[in-house]
Amino acid sequence: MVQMDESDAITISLARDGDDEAFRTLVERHSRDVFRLAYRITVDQQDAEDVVQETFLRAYRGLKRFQGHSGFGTWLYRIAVNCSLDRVRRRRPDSAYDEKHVELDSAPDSATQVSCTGESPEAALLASEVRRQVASALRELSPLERTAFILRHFEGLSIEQIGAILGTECNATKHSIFRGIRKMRRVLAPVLGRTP
Amino acid sequence: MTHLSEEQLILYYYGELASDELIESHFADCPSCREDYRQLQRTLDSVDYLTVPELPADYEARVWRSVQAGLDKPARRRWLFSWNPPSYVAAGVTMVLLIVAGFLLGRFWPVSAPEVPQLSRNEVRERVLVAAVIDHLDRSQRALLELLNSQANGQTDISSEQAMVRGILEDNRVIRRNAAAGGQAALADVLDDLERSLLDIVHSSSNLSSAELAELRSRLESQSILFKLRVISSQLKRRQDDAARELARRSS
Ligand SMILES: [Zn+2]
Repeated sequence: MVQMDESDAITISLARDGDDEAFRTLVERHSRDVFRLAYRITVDQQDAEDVVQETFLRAYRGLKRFQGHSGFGTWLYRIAVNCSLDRVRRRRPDSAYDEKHVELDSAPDSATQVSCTGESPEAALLASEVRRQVASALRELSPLERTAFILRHFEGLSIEQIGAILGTECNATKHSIFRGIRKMRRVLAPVLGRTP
Repeated sequence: MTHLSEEQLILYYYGELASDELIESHFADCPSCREDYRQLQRTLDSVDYLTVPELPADYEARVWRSVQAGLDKPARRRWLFSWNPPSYVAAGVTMVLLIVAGFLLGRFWPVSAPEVPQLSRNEVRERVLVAAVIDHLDRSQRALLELLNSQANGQTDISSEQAMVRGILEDNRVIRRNAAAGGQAALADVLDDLERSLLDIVHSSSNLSSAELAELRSRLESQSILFKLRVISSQLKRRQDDAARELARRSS
Protein backbone atom coordinates (compact mmCIF):
# COMPACT_ATOMS: atom_id res chain seq x y z
CA MET A 1 0.00 0.00 0.00
CA VAL A 2 1.30 3.44 -0.77
CA GLN A 3 2.43 5.58 2.09
CA MET A 4 -0.28 8.12 1.91
CA ASP A 5 -1.02 9.61 5.21
CA GLU A 6 1.47 12.39 5.64
CA SER A 7 1.18 14.11 2.29
CA ASP A 8 -2.56 13.47 2.30
CA ALA A 9 -3.28 15.27 5.54
CA ILE A 10 -3.82 18.73 4.12
CA THR A 11 -5.66 17.45 1.07
CA ILE A 12 -8.01 15.29 3.11
CA SER A 13 -8.93 18.18 5.36
CA LEU A 14 -9.71 20.34 2.36
CA ALA A 15 -11.70 17.59 0.67
CA ARG A 16 -13.65 16.95 3.84
CA ASP A 17 -14.59 20.59 3.91
CA GLY A 18 -16.09 20.24 0.44
CA ASP A 19 -13.17 21.22 -1.77
CA ASP A 20 -13.66 19.23 -4.97
CA GLU A 21 -10.22 20.02 -6.33
CA ALA A 22 -8.71 18.47 -3.23
CA PHE A 23 -10.89 15.41 -3.63
CA ARG A 24 -9.77 15.19 -7.23
CA THR A 25 -6.18 15.10 -5.99
CA LEU A 26 -7.04 12.18 -3.72
CA VAL A 27 -8.74 10.34 -6.59
CA GLU A 28 -5.79 10.89 -8.86
CA ARG A 29 -3.31 9.91 -6.21
CA HIS A 30 -4.94 6.61 -5.27
CA SER A 31 -6.91 5.35 -8.27
CA ARG A 32 -4.18 3.05 -9.59
CA ASP A 33 -3.67 1.41 -6.21
CA VAL A 34 -7.38 0.87 -5.79
CA PHE A 35 -7.62 -0.59 -9.29
CA ARG A 36 -4.78 -3.04 -8.64
CA LEU A 37 -6.37 -4.23 -5.42
CA ALA A 38 -9.84 -4.51 -6.95
CA TYR A 39 -8.51 -6.37 -9.97
CA ARG A 40 -6.76 -8.95 -7.83
CA ILE A 41 -9.87 -9.59 -5.78
CA THR A 42 -12.36 -9.64 -8.65
CA VAL A 43 -10.03 -10.91 -11.41
CA ASP A 44 -12.02 -8.90 -13.88
CA GLN A 45 -11.04 -5.64 -15.47
CA GLN A 46 -14.55 -4.29 -15.89
CA ASP A 47 -15.47 -5.18 -12.32
CA ALA A 48 -12.27 -3.59 -11.06
CA GLU A 49 -12.99 -0.37 -12.95
CA ASP A 50 -16.50 -0.26 -11.53
CA VAL A 51 -15.11 -0.88 -8.05
CA VAL A 52 -12.72 2.05 -8.42
CA GLN A 53 -15.54 4.41 -9.29
CA GLU A 54 -17.82 3.11 -6.59
CA THR A 55 -15.05 3.29 -3.99
CA PHE A 56 -14.41 6.96 -4.60
CA LEU A 57 -18.10 7.79 -4.69
CA ARG A 58 -18.58 6.09 -1.35
CA ALA A 59 -15.44 7.77 -0.04
CA TYR A 60 -16.74 11.15 -1.15
CA ARG A 61 -20.00 10.64 0.68
CA GLY A 62 -18.29 9.19 3.73
CA LEU A 63 -15.41 11.62 3.99
CA LYS A 64 -17.19 13.71 6.62
CA ARG A 65 -17.31 10.63 8.81
CA PHE A 66 -13.65 9.78 8.27
CA GLN A 67 -12.06 10.51 11.63
CA GLY A 68 -8.47 9.89 10.78
CA HIS A 69 -8.05 7.24 13.49
CA SER A 70 -7.22 4.55 11.00
CA GLY A 71 -5.27 6.44 8.38
CA PHE A 72 -6.72 7.39 5.04
CA GLY A 73 -5.17 4.45 3.19
CA THR A 74 -6.68 1.85 5.48
CA TRP A 75 -10.03 3.57 5.29
CA LEU A 76 -10.00 3.76 1.50
CA TYR A 77 -8.88 0.14 1.19
CA ARG A 78 -11.67 -0.95 3.48
CA ILE A 79 -14.18 0.66 1.15
CA ALA A 80 -12.49 -0.85 -1.92
CA VAL A 81 -12.40 -4.32 -0.37
CA ASN A 82 -16.07 -4.13 0.56
CA CYS A 83 -17.04 -3.01 -2.95
CA SER A 84 -14.94 -5.80 -4.48
CA LEU A 85 -16.37 -8.48 -2.21
CA ASP A 86 -19.90 -7.27 -2.95
CA ARG A 87 -19.21 -7.78 -6.61
CA VAL A 88 -17.68 -11.20 -6.24
CA ARG A 89 -20.52 -12.37 -4.01
CA ARG A 90 -23.15 -11.02 -6.36
CA ARG A 91 -21.95 -13.44 -9.02
CA ARG A 92 -23.44 -16.90 -8.94
CA PRO A 93 -21.36 -18.85 -6.42
CA ASP A 94 -20.34 -21.57 -8.87
CA SER A 95 -19.31 -19.07 -11.47
CA ALA A 96 -17.30 -17.02 -9.03
CA TYR A 97 -14.21 -16.86 -11.18
CA ASP A 98 -15.17 -19.28 -13.91
CA GLU A 99 -16.14 -16.94 -16.69
CA LYS A 100 -13.27 -14.72 -15.85
CA HIS A 101 -10.44 -17.14 -16.02
CA VAL A 102 -10.67 -17.45 -19.77
CA GLU A 103 -9.81 -13.82 -20.10
CA LEU A 104 -7.02 -14.13 -17.60
CA ASP A 105 -5.59 -17.31 -19.05
CA SER A 106 -5.58 -16.07 -22.59
CA ALA A 107 -4.27 -12.63 -21.74
CA PRO A 108 -1.76 -11.58 -24.38
CA ASP A 109 0.97 -11.45 -21.81
CA SER A 110 2.74 -14.66 -22.62
CA ALA A 111 5.41 -15.83 -25.00
CA THR A 112 5.67 -12.99 -27.50
CA GLN A 113 5.62 -10.15 -25.06
CA VAL A 114 8.09 -11.60 -22.62
CA SER A 115 10.52 -12.73 -25.30
CA CYS A 116 10.86 -9.10 -26.36
CA THR A 117 12.52 -8.39 -23.05
CA GLY A 118 15.27 -10.84 -23.84
CA GLU A 119 13.98 -13.94 -22.05
CA SER A 120 14.12 -17.20 -23.93
CA PRO A 121 10.84 -18.45 -25.42
CA GLU A 122 11.01 -21.46 -23.08
CA ALA A 123 11.28 -19.25 -20.02
CA ALA A 124 8.43 -17.11 -21.30
CA LEU A 125 6.24 -20.15 -21.86
CA LEU A 126 7.05 -21.46 -18.43
CA ALA A 127 6.20 -18.10 -16.91
CA SER A 128 2.87 -18.00 -18.65
CA GLU A 129 2.10 -21.55 -17.54
CA VAL A 130 2.93 -20.65 -13.93
CA ARG A 131 0.75 -17.57 -14.20
CA ARG A 132 -2.14 -19.66 -15.47
CA GLN A 133 -1.75 -22.14 -12.64
CA VAL A 134 -1.46 -19.45 -10.00
CA ALA A 135 -4.65 -17.83 -11.28
CA SER A 136 -6.50 -21.11 -11.08
CA ALA A 137 -5.07 -21.82 -7.62
CA LEU A 138 -6.30 -18.46 -6.39
CA ARG A 139 -9.78 -19.32 -7.59
CA GLU A 140 -9.88 -22.14 -5.06
CA LEU A 141 -9.88 -19.61 -2.23
CA SER A 142 -13.03 -18.17 -0.72
CA PRO A 143 -13.42 -14.43 -1.34
CA LEU A 144 -12.37 -13.68 2.23
CA GLU A 145 -9.31 -15.96 2.15
CA ARG A 146 -8.35 -14.56 -1.18
CA THR A 147 -8.67 -10.96 -0.03
CA ALA A 148 -6.73 -11.55 3.18
CA PHE A 149 -4.01 -13.27 1.17
CA ILE A 150 -3.84 -10.51 -1.45
CA LEU A 151 -3.58 -7.82 1.19
CA ARG A 152 -0.75 -9.72 2.88
CA HIS A 153 1.12 -10.90 -0.18
CA PHE A 154 0.73 -8.12 -2.74
CA GLU A 155 -0.06 -5.10 -0.63
CA GLY A 156 2.38 -5.98 2.12
CA LEU A 157 -0.07 -5.18 4.90
CA SER A 158 0.44 -6.61 8.36
CA ILE A 159 -2.05 -9.08 9.77
CA GLU A 160 -3.20 -6.37 12.13
CA GLN A 161 -3.90 -3.93 9.28
CA ILE A 162 -5.68 -6.63 7.32
CA GLY A 163 -7.88 -7.36 10.33
CA ALA A 164 -8.72 -3.66 10.51
CA ILE A 165 -9.77 -3.68 6.86
CA LEU A 166 -11.72 -6.94 6.92
CA GLY A 167 -13.13 -6.41 10.38
CA THR A 168 -11.76 -9.73 11.59
CA GLU A 169 -9.92 -10.67 14.77
CA CYS A 170 -6.20 -11.27 14.59
CA ASN A 171 -6.52 -15.06 14.85
CA ALA A 172 -9.31 -15.28 12.30
CA THR A 173 -7.28 -13.15 9.90
CA LYS A 174 -4.26 -15.39 10.30
CA HIS A 175 -6.33 -18.50 9.72
CA SER A 176 -7.89 -17.09 6.55
CA ILE A 177 -4.38 -16.57 5.23
CA PHE A 178 -3.18 -20.01 6.37
CA ARG A 179 -6.18 -21.75 4.81
CA GLY A 180 -5.75 -19.81 1.59
CA ILE A 181 -2.10 -20.67 1.28
CA ARG A 182 -2.75 -24.34 2.06
CA LYS A 183 -5.29 -24.50 -0.77
CA MET A 184 -2.89 -22.86 -3.16
CA ARG A 185 -0.09 -25.20 -2.27
CA ARG A 186 -2.31 -28.17 -3.02
CA VAL A 187 -3.01 -26.86 -6.52
CA LEU A 188 0.46 -25.59 -7.24
CA ALA A 189 2.55 -28.41 -5.79
CA PRO A 190 2.28 -30.68 -8.85
CA VAL A 191 3.17 -27.78 -11.12
CA LEU A 192 6.07 -26.47 -9.14
CA GLY A 193 7.60 -29.80 -8.23
CA ARG A 194 7.42 -31.86 -5.06
CA THR A 195 4.31 -32.14 -2.96
CA PRO A 196 4.28 -30.07 0.20
CA MET B 1 12.68 -32.43 18.16
CA THR B 2 9.37 -30.70 17.33
CA HIS B 3 9.37 -29.52 13.72
CA LEU B 4 8.23 -26.11 12.66
CA SER B 5 4.58 -25.82 11.69
CA GLU B 6 3.40 -24.53 8.33
CA GLU B 7 1.85 -21.58 10.19
CA GLN B 8 5.19 -20.64 11.69
CA LEU B 9 6.87 -20.86 8.31
CA ILE B 10 4.22 -18.65 6.70
CA LEU B 11 4.53 -16.03 9.42
CA TYR B 12 8.29 -16.21 9.05
CA TYR B 13 8.05 -15.72 5.28
CA TYR B 14 5.99 -12.55 5.75
CA GLY B 15 8.11 -11.24 8.60
CA GLU B 16 5.19 -11.45 11.03
CA LEU B 17 7.08 -13.12 13.89
CA ALA B 18 8.25 -11.09 16.83
CA SER B 19 11.59 -12.81 16.45
CA ASP B 20 13.07 -14.95 13.69
CA GLU B 21 15.65 -16.46 15.99
CA LEU B 22 13.76 -19.64 16.88
CA ILE B 23 13.10 -20.43 13.21
CA GLU B 24 16.61 -19.74 12.07
CA SER B 25 18.27 -21.75 14.81
CA HIS B 26 15.91 -24.63 14.00
CA PHE B 27 16.82 -24.39 10.32
CA ALA B 28 20.48 -24.66 11.27
CA ASP B 29 19.89 -28.16 12.69
CA CYS B 30 16.99 -29.42 10.58
CA PRO B 31 17.30 -30.09 6.85
CA SER B 32 13.70 -31.32 6.68
CA CYS B 33 12.24 -27.99 7.87
CA ARG B 34 14.65 -26.14 5.60
CA GLU B 35 13.28 -28.13 2.67
CA ASP B 36 9.68 -27.48 3.77
CA TYR B 37 10.41 -23.81 3.85
CA ARG B 38 12.08 -23.87 0.45
CA GLN B 39 8.92 -25.35 -1.05
CA LEU B 40 6.67 -22.88 0.68
CA GLN B 41 8.88 -20.10 -0.59
CA ARG B 42 8.68 -21.44 -4.11
CA THR B 43 4.89 -21.49 -4.02
CA LEU B 44 4.57 -18.02 -2.56
CA ASP B 45 7.19 -16.58 -4.90
CA SER B 46 5.36 -18.04 -7.88
CA VAL B 47 2.29 -15.98 -7.00
CA ASP B 48 4.22 -12.93 -8.13
CA TYR B 49 3.85 -14.12 -11.71
CA LEU B 50 0.27 -12.95 -11.58
CA THR B 51 -0.02 -9.70 -13.51
CA VAL B 52 -2.44 -6.82 -13.46
CA PRO B 53 -3.61 -5.28 -16.76
CA GLU B 54 -1.73 -2.22 -17.96
CA LEU B 55 -3.68 0.99 -17.48
CA PRO B 56 -3.66 3.92 -19.91
CA ALA B 57 -1.46 6.89 -19.04
CA ASP B 58 -4.49 9.11 -18.44
CA TYR B 59 -6.22 6.58 -16.20
CA GLU B 60 -6.37 8.93 -13.19
CA ALA B 61 -8.05 11.66 -15.25
CA ARG B 62 -10.59 9.18 -16.60
CA VAL B 63 -11.43 7.97 -13.12
CA TRP B 64 -11.91 11.51 -11.94
CA ARG B 65 -14.26 12.27 -14.83
CA SER B 66 -16.39 9.24 -14.10
CA VAL B 67 -16.39 9.94 -10.37
CA GLN B 68 -17.27 13.57 -10.95
CA ALA B 69 -20.16 12.54 -13.16
CA GLY B 70 -21.43 10.39 -10.30
CA LEU B 71 -21.29 13.18 -7.73
CA ASP B 72 -24.84 14.43 -7.82
CA LYS B 73 -24.12 18.05 -7.14
CA PRO B 74 -23.15 21.05 -9.17
CA ALA B 75 -19.45 21.77 -9.37
CA ARG B 76 -18.64 24.20 -6.63
CA ARG B 77 -15.85 26.70 -6.64
CA ARG B 78 -14.07 27.44 -3.46
CA TRP B 79 -12.35 30.73 -3.11
CA LEU B 80 -9.01 31.12 -1.53
CA PHE B 81 -10.07 33.22 1.37
CA SER B 82 -13.45 31.72 1.90
CA TRP B 83 -12.57 28.04 1.73
CA ASN B 84 -12.41 25.97 4.81
CA PRO B 85 -8.87 25.59 6.01
CA PRO B 86 -7.40 22.20 6.79
CA SER B 87 -9.32 21.04 9.82
CA TYR B 88 -6.28 20.27 11.90
CA VAL B 89 -4.90 23.74 11.32
CA ALA B 90 -8.32 25.19 11.89
CA ALA B 91 -8.76 23.41 15.19
CA GLY B 92 -5.47 24.66 16.56
CA VAL B 93 -5.60 28.20 15.29
CA THR B 94 -9.27 28.72 16.05
CA MET B 95 -8.65 27.49 19.55
CA VAL B 96 -5.82 29.97 20.05
CA LEU B 97 -7.90 32.78 18.59
CA LEU B 98 -10.83 31.91 20.80
CA ILE B 99 -8.64 31.81 23.87
CA VAL B 100 -7.06 35.14 22.98
CA ALA B 101 -10.41 36.68 22.14
CA GLY B 102 -11.93 35.28 25.31
CA PHE B 103 -9.07 36.61 27.37
CA LEU B 104 -9.29 40.04 25.84
CA LEU B 105 -13.05 40.12 26.18
CA GLY B 106 -13.01 39.02 29.76
CA ARG B 107 -10.39 41.53 30.57
CA PHE B 108 -11.52 44.62 28.74
CA TRP B 109 -15.19 44.27 28.17
CA PRO B 110 -17.85 44.55 30.78
CA VAL B 111 -19.99 41.44 30.79
CA SER B 112 -23.12 43.41 30.02
CA ALA B 113 -21.59 45.19 27.04
CA PRO B 114 -24.14 45.69 24.29
CA GLU B 115 -21.66 45.06 21.48
CA VAL B 116 -19.06 42.37 21.60
CA PRO B 117 -16.24 42.68 19.09
CA GLN B 118 -15.58 39.34 17.57
CA LEU B 119 -13.79 37.85 14.68
CA SER B 120 -16.34 37.03 12.05
CA ARG B 121 -16.34 33.52 10.77
CA ASN B 122 -14.78 34.68 7.54
CA GLU B 123 -12.04 36.51 9.34
CA VAL B 124 -11.18 33.42 11.31
CA ARG B 125 -11.06 31.38 8.14
CA GLU B 126 -8.93 33.86 6.32
CA ARG B 127 -6.40 33.95 9.11
CA VAL B 128 -6.26 30.21 9.38
CA LEU B 129 -5.75 29.93 5.68
CA VAL B 130 -3.04 32.56 5.62
CA ALA B 131 -1.32 30.58 8.36
CA ALA B 132 -1.55 27.39 6.29
CA VAL B 133 -0.11 29.09 3.21
CA ILE B 134 2.73 30.62 5.22
CA ASP B 135 3.47 27.21 6.63
CA HIS B 136 3.58 25.76 3.13
CA LEU B 137 5.91 28.53 1.92
CA ASP B 138 8.23 27.97 4.87
CA ARG B 139 8.34 24.27 4.23
CA SER B 140 9.18 24.88 0.57
CA GLN B 141 11.95 27.30 1.47
CA ARG B 142 13.46 24.80 3.87
CA ALA B 143 13.45 22.07 1.23
CA LEU B 144 15.04 24.32 -1.38
CA LEU B 145 17.66 25.57 1.06
CA GLU B 146 18.57 22.05 1.93
CA LEU B 147 19.32 21.35 -1.72
CA LEU B 148 21.15 24.60 -2.31
CA ASN B 149 23.33 24.07 0.73
CA SER B 150 24.06 20.37 0.40
CA GLN B 151 27.73 19.45 0.18
CA ALA B 152 28.80 18.23 -3.22
CA ASN B 153 31.68 15.78 -3.14
CA GLY B 154 31.51 13.39 -6.04
CA GLN B 155 28.07 11.79 -6.38
CA THR B 156 25.28 13.27 -4.27
CA ASP B 157 22.17 11.28 -3.48
CA ILE B 158 19.21 13.65 -3.38
CA SER B 159 16.46 11.03 -3.16
CA SER B 160 15.36 12.05 0.34
CA GLU B 161 15.10 15.70 -0.73
CA GLN B 162 13.13 14.56 -3.76
CA ALA B 163 10.73 12.60 -1.58
CA MET B 164 10.14 15.68 0.53
CA VAL B 165 9.65 17.82 -2.57
CA ARG B 166 7.11 15.37 -3.98
CA GLY B 167 4.91 15.84 -0.90
CA ILE B 168 5.23 19.61 -1.11
CA LEU B 169 4.37 19.50 -4.79
CA GLU B 170 0.99 17.91 -4.16
CA ASP B 171 0.03 20.51 -1.55
CA ASN B 172 1.32 23.22 -3.82
CA ARG B 173 -1.02 22.16 -6.58
CA VAL B 174 -4.06 22.38 -4.34
CA ILE B 175 -3.08 25.73 -2.84
CA ARG B 176 -2.14 27.21 -6.23
CA ARG B 177 -5.45 26.21 -7.82
CA ASN B 178 -7.37 27.80 -5.00
CA ALA B 179 -5.26 30.94 -5.09
CA ALA B 180 -5.87 31.29 -8.83
CA ALA B 181 -9.59 30.63 -8.42
CA GLY B 182 -9.75 33.15 -5.60
CA GLY B 183 -8.18 35.89 -7.70
CA GLN B 184 -4.94 35.89 -5.72
CA ALA B 185 -2.88 36.32 -8.86
CA ALA B 186 0.42 37.30 -7.25
CA LEU B 187 0.36 34.33 -4.90
CA ALA B 188 -0.73 32.00 -7.69
CA ASP B 189 2.15 33.22 -9.89
CA VAL B 190 4.74 32.55 -7.24
CA LEU B 191 3.26 29.12 -6.54
CA ASP B 192 3.38 28.45 -10.27
CA ASP B 193 7.08 29.31 -10.36
CA LEU B 194 7.59 27.20 -7.28
CA GLU B 195 5.90 24.27 -8.97
CA ARG B 196 8.29 24.53 -11.91
CA SER B 197 11.31 24.53 -9.62
CA LEU B 198 9.94 21.61 -7.62
CA LEU B 199 9.28 19.64 -10.80
CA ASP B 200 12.82 20.35 -11.95
CA ILE B 201 14.07 18.76 -8.72
CA VAL B 202 11.71 15.79 -8.88
CA HIS B 203 12.61 15.08 -12.50
CA SER B 204 16.36 15.17 -11.87
CA SER B 205 18.20 11.94 -11.38
CA SER B 206 18.48 11.05 -7.68
CA ASN B 207 22.20 10.58 -7.98
CA LEU B 208 23.93 13.69 -9.16
CA SER B 209 27.56 14.29 -10.03
CA SER B 210 28.91 17.50 -8.54
CA ALA B 211 28.65 19.15 -11.98
CA GLU B 212 24.99 18.14 -12.31
CA LEU B 213 24.24 19.34 -8.80
CA ALA B 214 25.90 22.66 -9.54
CA GLU B 215 23.78 22.94 -12.68
CA LEU B 216 20.57 22.22 -10.81
CA ARG B 217 21.51 24.80 -8.21
CA SER B 218 22.27 27.46 -10.73
CA ARG B 219 18.93 26.80 -12.44
CA LEU B 220 17.16 27.18 -9.12
CA GLU B 221 19.11 30.31 -8.32
CA SER B 222 18.46 31.88 -11.70
CA GLN B 223 14.73 31.49 -11.10
CA SER B 224 15.27 33.39 -7.84
CA ILE B 225 12.47 31.30 -6.43
CA LEU B 226 13.73 31.58 -2.87
CA PHE B 227 13.60 35.34 -3.07
CA LYS B 228 10.04 35.29 -4.40
CA LEU B 229 8.97 32.92 -1.65
CA ARG B 230 10.48 35.19 0.97
CA VAL B 231 8.73 38.25 -0.41
CA ILE B 232 5.29 36.70 -0.61
CA SER B 233 5.64 35.03 2.72
CA SER B 234 6.63 38.28 4.42
CA GLN B 235 3.64 40.00 2.81
CA LEU B 236 1.37 37.33 4.23
CA LYS B 237 3.02 37.62 7.62
CA ARG B 238 2.45 41.35 7.59
CA ARG B 239 -1.18 40.72 6.83
CA GLN B 240 -1.30 38.38 9.82
CA ASP B 241 0.19 41.05 12.07
CA ASP B 242 -2.21 43.70 10.81
CA ALA B 243 -5.12 41.42 11.51
CA ALA B 244 -3.83 40.73 15.00
CA ARG B 245 -3.48 44.47 15.69
CA GLU B 246 -6.96 45.05 14.35
CA LEU B 247 -8.34 42.49 16.75
CA ALA B 248 -6.46 44.08 19.62
CA ARG B 249 -7.75 47.52 18.63
CA ARG B 250 -11.33 46.34 18.47
CA SER B 251 -11.02 44.66 21.80
CA SER B 252 -9.58 47.60 23.71
ZN1 LIG C 1 12.42 -29.42 11.75
